[in-house]
Order: sequence, then C-alpha cells, then structure tokens
Amino acid sequence: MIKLSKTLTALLLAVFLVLGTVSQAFAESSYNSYYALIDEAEIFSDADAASIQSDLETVGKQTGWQMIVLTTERGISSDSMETSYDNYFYSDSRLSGDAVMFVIDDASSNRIILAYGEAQRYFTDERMSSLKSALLQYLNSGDMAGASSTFAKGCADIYSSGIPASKSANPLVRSLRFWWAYLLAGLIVFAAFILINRGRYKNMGKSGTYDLRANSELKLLDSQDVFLHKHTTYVTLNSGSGSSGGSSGGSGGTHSSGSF
Amino acid sequence: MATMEYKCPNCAGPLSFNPDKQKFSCPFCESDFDPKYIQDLYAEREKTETSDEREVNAYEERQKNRQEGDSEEYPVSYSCPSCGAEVVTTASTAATRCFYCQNPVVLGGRLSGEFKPDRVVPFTISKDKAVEIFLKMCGKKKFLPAGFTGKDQIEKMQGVYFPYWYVDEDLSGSISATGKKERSWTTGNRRYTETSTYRLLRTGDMKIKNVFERALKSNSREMLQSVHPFDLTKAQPFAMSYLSGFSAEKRDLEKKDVAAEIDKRMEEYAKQLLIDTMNGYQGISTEHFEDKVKDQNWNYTLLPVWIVTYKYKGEILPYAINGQTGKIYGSLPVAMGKLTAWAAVIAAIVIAICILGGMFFA
Repeated sequence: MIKLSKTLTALLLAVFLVLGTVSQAFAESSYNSYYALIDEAEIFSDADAASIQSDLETVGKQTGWQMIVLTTERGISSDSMETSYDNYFYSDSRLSGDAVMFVIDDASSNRIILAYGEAQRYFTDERMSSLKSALLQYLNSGDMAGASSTFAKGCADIYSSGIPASKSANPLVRSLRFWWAYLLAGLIVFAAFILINRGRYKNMGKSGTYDLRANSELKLLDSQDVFLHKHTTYVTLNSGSGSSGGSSGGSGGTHSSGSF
Repeated sequence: MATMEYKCPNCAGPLSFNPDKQKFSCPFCESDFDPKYIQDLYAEREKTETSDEREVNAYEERQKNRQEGDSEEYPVSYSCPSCGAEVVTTASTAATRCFYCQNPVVLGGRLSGEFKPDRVVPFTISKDKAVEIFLKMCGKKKFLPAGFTGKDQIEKMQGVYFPYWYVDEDLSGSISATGKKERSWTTGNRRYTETSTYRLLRTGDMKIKNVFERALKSNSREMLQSVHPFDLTKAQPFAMSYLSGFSAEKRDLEKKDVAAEIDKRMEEYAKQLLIDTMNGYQGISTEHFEDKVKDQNWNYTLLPVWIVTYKYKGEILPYAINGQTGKIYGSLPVAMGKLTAWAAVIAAIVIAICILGGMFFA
C-alpha cells in the first residue's frame, strides 16, 4: 500500500511536473501566422494568456498581420529598445512579414510598439500616440493582460481606419495631402503674374527726363568743412560664436515605432 | 486768312518736311528741297503773314468772344488755301491738315509776333519709324486688347510740335549743411565707431540749362514732360516751313504761368549741384540755402512728338513718342480676361508641378 502510494505520488508529481512544464512552455511561446505570444518574463497567468491569444488571433485574422506580444526581462534602456527589438524580430524565424509587436520589458519597465511590413502604413504618429494613451492606464496599474488586449483591439481599430494618405502606396494620394500648399502656391503665382504684368504695362517712359550733370556747370567759389564735434560708440562683440547644431530624429524606414 | 501752304516749286504739289531726309519732299513729283531753299523762297510770304498778326488776333478775339465762357478750346475756322474748304481748328492749333484735301496747312498768324517760337527741333523720326517703335513696344506685350495695334489705330498717329518753355539760368548760390564722417576700429572684443560732425559751407556760380516746362495746358502734363529729353543742340531757329506736314500747337501758358515751377526746380538743381561737392560725407542735412539769379534766358521752343490715343473702357489713353529720340511714354491697356486666363493656366501648371514633385518627395 505504501509502495503504491509512493508510486502514485511519484506519478502525480511527474504529471504535475510535465503539466507544469507544458504550461510554462505554453506561456513562454505560443504562436501561429496570426499571432505570437512570447511571455519570457512570465507575467501572464494561463487564463490571461489564453484570453490574450484569443484576442491576438482574432485581430490577426481580421488584419492579416501577425499580432505579437513579447514580454522580456532583458532590461533594455528606452533609447536602445527600438534597435534591440528590431534585431529580435528579424532574428526570430517565427516572426516575419506584416506584424505589429508590443514589447513589455519587465526589467526596465520600458515598453514599445513596433510595426513591420504593410502594417507600417497604418501607423501614423497620431494613431500611435492614441494607442499608447489607451494602453497607459493599464500599464500604470500593472495590468499587462489588459494592456495586451487593449493593444490588440487598438490595432484592429487602426486597421479599420485604413491606410492614411500620408502612408498610401499611391504617390499621388500622398502628394495630394498637401493640396492646400499647392493651391496657395498657385494663387500666389496667379496674383504675382497679374500684378507683374499690370506693372509692366503702366507708366512707361516716366524716368530720365532731365540730366542735371549734362545741363549744368558749377564754379565753386568757396568751400569750407568746419569740424563741430564727434562722439564714439562701441558694441561688444561675442567672442565665442557658440555654434550649436546637429539634428536628431529620423528613422531607418523599415518600421514604425512608438516607445513609452 | 493767315494760312500758309508750302508748294513744290516744280509741280505746285503740297510740300511736307521729311524727317528721314531732313528735307522738304513733294509726294507728287518726289522732288526734295533743302530747308534753307524753301525758307528763303517763302520768306517774303511768311513776313506778310506776320504782318497779318493783328488782324488774326483780332479775328480770333472776336471768335472767342462769341463762345460762352472763357474756354481755350473754342473753335476757329480758316479757309484752306488749296481747296477753299473751311478748316475748323482749336484756338491753339498752329499747323494741321485740311480735312478735305489733306494738304498741310500752317496757320502762320498763330506762330508770329510774340507767339513766334525761338527755335524748333525738327522731326528726325518719320511716322513709319514711330509706328515701328510703337509696334515694337506692343509686340512684347501679350495682354493688349484686340485691335490695339490694328491698322485703324496706327493710322491715327500724328506728328505734333508741342510748345515748351526752356529756361537757362546763371545764378550764384550758397549752402550751409551738416554732414557726418564715420570711422570704425576694433580693440579687444569691442568695435568702436567714431562719428564726426562737420558744418559744410559751399558757395558757387552756376549755369543751369534747358530746364523745361510745357507751354500748353490742354494736354497731359505728365505726358508732355515725360517724353523728354530732347537734344537741343539739334534745334534750329524757328521757321514755319518745318511745321508743314505736321500738326503744331500754339502756347497757351505764359512765362508767368510756369515761372513758379521753373524757379522751384532751378532751386532744387542748384542745391543739388552744391551738395554734390560734399564728397565723403554721410547724412547731409541742409541748414540754409540761398541763391541769386544773375541772368535768366527763356526760350519758346517747339518739340516734335508723335501722338496716338486709344479709347479703352471709356478712358482715353495717350501715347507719345519723342520725335527726335524715339523714347516712348504711355500706359498700355490690359485685357484682363486674357491676362486672367494666362495667369490661371500658369497657376495650374505650377500646381501640377507641385503635385508631381510631391509624388517624389512626400
């Protein structure tokens, strides 16, 4: 009896161990072409993970993007997040194509959303800011599952809004975003053309009617230059011209990103 | 009455002064005559016309008194010496063409006695050349109204001798002014500027020549003034024969009418001449200026101008071409419809280029 119970206990422990291992493995990495949930930081419960997977998959199917939530404990600084997780994205063979990745670095408390491929076209700065604002309340309260679900829904909303003109593949559509500037330029040219031509037609030949130099003689009888007074002023010159400059910003053009 | 017609000594055809040849030409037998020859030939006749001056003036006075008001534009009629037709002119017209036989007629009495000009600058630019200058100016302008350079318009161009007062003056003047000189240098991190102020005194004798003012009030002053300058070294002592073939106007502004304007300009010019000697000074400010006229010489001068007018939208636009130098004066009319259409096309092209550029750079 004791032997049996030991055996059962061992079996139960083995089952728990196996189940625990499977569960851990499931939580750490679960993906298909529509989604990827990589919980390296192990911050999601099974229930949370299942719910997030479902949300990601639904949105992934709707958008055709691979919806990725990645939690890590790498402790990457905010300045390096974009580069670091770009490398992560491109080096992980499971992640490819059109994708949106929400990275939660649990060690540094930095987060970033990165868009790849066709998905980049949908993410303007305004939309990215709006999505970040929506996530912020969950992140501040430590509700990472809520943040991940909101991320998924936010991406669905962005997809529904369509590709903005600024990100359109059609260069004409992109160009026409500045229609007001073109119209203004046209109006300026229109007005200038009329004014210049009207000016060219007016009052010709009014100048140069009398040449004083050619029609006069002067015999100077007296010439005196009497000094009255003088005054001196000065200005202080800046010795260090203190040039400062340089520019910041700019992206590589391979993805859109927003860290916060 | 008091009209002069210059006839060809060979065929009795009407003679006109030919600006290209600087001779008198007969359009019928194509003979050319030296001005001196014609002037000598008609000297006696011109004297007779001059002696008729009182009669002419009395006649014109009677005509004027018949008109209501005191307008200078009252009409006066004469008999054409060629065809006897009645030629109606304004009171200031001194030479014209008979409206019926087109022969040139000089109304001698208008330019004799006290109204005899001292000198005349003969036309050196012919009507053909004047038309060419006018068309050249118009040719570069795409937005003129249709018909502006048409044949009907061009045929209206006529050569007119306009009367001017020219004044030469000998004067002495003195001026007191202040002027500044600046000197700058740098020591350490300071840049110093030293400003020295001087009182500048100048006294001199001056001769200022050829200050002009129109002597006819009925035409645009701006046009008559702007058509200058003329080269007065080419002026000839006045002879009525130069007017043959052209229109001419008698002065209706006397010395007293323009003296104030002439004095003002003489003073400005004298002051400018003295200021021009203050070399090296900045910010010259006149404190006192006085001048004294030593001698003043007025010349009543006829100057050659080609004139054409154009009526556009109820406004009469005058164009004047200096009959000696070809300098042109006038404001051209703009066909706003045409201009607006062009402006719209160019604006559309600019917008299209912007859109195309945006396709590459947006």
